Amino acid sequence: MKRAATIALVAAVRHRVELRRRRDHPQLGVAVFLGAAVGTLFIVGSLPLPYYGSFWPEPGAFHYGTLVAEEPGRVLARGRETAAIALVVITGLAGLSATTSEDWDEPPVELLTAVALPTAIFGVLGDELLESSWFVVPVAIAGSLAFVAGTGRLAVLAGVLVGSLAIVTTGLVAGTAVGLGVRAAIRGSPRLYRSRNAVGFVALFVTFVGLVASRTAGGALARTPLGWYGDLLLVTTPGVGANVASGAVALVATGAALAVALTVVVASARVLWFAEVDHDHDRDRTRASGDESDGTRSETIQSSVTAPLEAVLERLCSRPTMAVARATWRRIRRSPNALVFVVLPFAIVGPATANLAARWPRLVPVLVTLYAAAAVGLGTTLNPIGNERIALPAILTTPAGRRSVLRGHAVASLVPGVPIVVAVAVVAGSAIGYSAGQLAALVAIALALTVGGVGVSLGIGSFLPNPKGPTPASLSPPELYAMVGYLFAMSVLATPAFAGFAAIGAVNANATGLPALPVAGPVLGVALTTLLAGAAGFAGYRYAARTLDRYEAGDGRRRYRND
Amino acid sequence: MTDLAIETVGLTKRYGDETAVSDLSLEIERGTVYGFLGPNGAGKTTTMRMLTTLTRPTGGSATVAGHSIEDRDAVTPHIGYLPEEPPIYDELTGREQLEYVAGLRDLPSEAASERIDDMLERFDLLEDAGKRIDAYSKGMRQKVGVIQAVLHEPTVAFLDEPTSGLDPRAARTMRNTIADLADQEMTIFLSTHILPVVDELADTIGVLHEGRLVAEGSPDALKHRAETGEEGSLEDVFLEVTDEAEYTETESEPPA
Repeated sequence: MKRAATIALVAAVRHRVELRRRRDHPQLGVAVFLGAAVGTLFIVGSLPLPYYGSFWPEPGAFHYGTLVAEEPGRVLARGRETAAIALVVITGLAGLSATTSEDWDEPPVELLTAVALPTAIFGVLGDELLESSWFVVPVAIAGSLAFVAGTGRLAVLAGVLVGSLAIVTTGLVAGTAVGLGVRAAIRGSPRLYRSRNAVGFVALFVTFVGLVASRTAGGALARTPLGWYGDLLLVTTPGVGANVASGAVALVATGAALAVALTVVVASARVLWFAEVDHDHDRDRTRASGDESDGTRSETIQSSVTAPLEAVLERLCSRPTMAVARATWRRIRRSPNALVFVVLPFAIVGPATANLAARWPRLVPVLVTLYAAAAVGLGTTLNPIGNERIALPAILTTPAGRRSVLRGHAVASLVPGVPIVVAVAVVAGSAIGYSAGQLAALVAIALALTVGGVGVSLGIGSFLPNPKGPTPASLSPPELYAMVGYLFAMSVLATPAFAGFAAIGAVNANATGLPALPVAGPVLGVALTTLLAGAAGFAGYRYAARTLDRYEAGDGRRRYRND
Repeated sequence: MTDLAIETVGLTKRYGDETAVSDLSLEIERGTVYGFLGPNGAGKTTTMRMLTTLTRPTGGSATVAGHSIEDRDAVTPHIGYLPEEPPIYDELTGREQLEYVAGLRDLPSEAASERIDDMLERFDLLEDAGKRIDAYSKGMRQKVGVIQAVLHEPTVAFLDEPTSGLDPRAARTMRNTIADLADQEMTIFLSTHILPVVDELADTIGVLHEGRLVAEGSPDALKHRAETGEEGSLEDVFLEVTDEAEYTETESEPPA
């Protein structure tokens, strides 16, 4: 009993600290709210409210609640499918969170010197689960209530709530166990360990895309034991024919899964907190620093390749800007985790292209160009303040520091980014048979989206910085919500270009099914994207510069006394 | 040009209802070492942040190297700042970090290179200059932080606990370096809790308590305070003036 109280105390205090951090950065709270709101819209679905149908026409929990009497078989099938998919999604999210969380990197000495190890582990786990629950629980409750409202029977609520609780608990705890287990397994390999965020994120995203793209995946999952959680959800819903035995097994499975998962969590946390991997790490680190002969050789080769480029850049950029760009490249090479989101467009471009190619093949090069351009702004420019957090006092007390740091990050992204995006655009456009004029327009879009996108990225990254990293002085990946906001902004900027190229198709061959348009339409679309990207990029850069100008050291500590 | 490297008049900083620094007036001459003492939470770091333009005062005025602290672009070329936590990147090597700062400050390459080598050698870091900073000890990080703060030979260097984490030999090097810099007409604004360091280096000492300057003078003058008429250590002085301030504020009996 005392141990449970201690665990609750540890979890509550650690969570309070996190909440206060969010209070210092209210935009994070807004972002979590928006994420939960979108999840709620998906699960609740359409509602019989005026105009709501045109806002959100997709059927969800409410709609299937109304079908209980008329189509019980369909409701049961959809219930099993939803439960199975929800389990996979929650497990995946919790797994990714456990894979990336810094709480499992270093042992919390203040806990380990005060309480037993399992108590400390469960306390930290409790905090992590509370954090995830802010996103998952509102969605689960909203879905449950919507379904009950749809059926119009309160008795349904018991089964739905127990089922939702079982799904959420099993998903969160099992996902954390899977994430920590994988993390512990690769702890001995520094290279693999450093790549865990990127690999985990891509794996999760591909799973999501697979679930969304494949219409059969949900049904297939529902036929596995995961579908039994659907029976548990509907066990008190009369008339749908939920299998009581399956529901009971799901309930027992929840208990068993929790016991196994908690054992795995304790064992994995023990490995992560006390693993001795210094030898490998040092060797890896030394190589990166160029201390050993191998490293020296590789850095020399690299230097001979990049030296001419740097000489050209030094003529174009100021020395302070080049100093920042050069330092950023070095830091990226040694903290590649900071580029975790850059791989995201590459993970989704395949399924998205396949989807688009079937209907509007002539738009594929525009889509590929957009993804490539978006990837350029998903690196350090999306977290300029977070990446400089410890160095801000030095940068802000340097004459050109503020401007140089933003320009330096931009140059560090654009120098490799622009040629790659232009090459991708040319190859994709040529492959699809674009004319020379169309290729030129595509290259113009590529340049505008890449350069403008970096400005947008600086702006959004300054508004939603990620101030937490592996250590206070290392690069950190951008805030998840900054990434979402940035991708949304890029999609908006690219919309006129899509419309323009769709119209080109219409003008040339009427291949898109759209009515034929005058040539001015396509030109206008391309010009509009170019102008919008330029304006948004400039605004983003200006916002980032103003944020740095207004930055006051110690602002986050106002509540505490300053030394 | 004024002989004062730092001048503040009624400098005040409030965070909401809380006053971090109150009506602070200082006159610090060029080429001197000013020891800035005070208990935890006295307002020392806030004062340094105001003087380095990192935070704006809510009242009063100040000039650093003859430039108002309201004019950030005019002040920053003349100052160097070592905060409590050295502003350095884990991913860079010590040398790369210093080269980065030299580039950021647009120092001539060859001169910067020579100075980096000199300073690395002085701080016994030359051998480890090619290693990444995330492999450095706390003391080594501190040394890199100090070097980068004075690399451009600023008019005024603000050093917050520069000897923190240093072993006795490195601490001695640090004290010698500070003395040398002061000999070269650099003004050092030194905030520390290590009283012997201030005692040895400072030309003038200011004691801040609850945001107010409660004592100021040379180390000798402070040690021979008229109130006691007796010679004491700097620690005695520190305890005495901060206790007095506590007494004045609470209007209760001073501690025995």
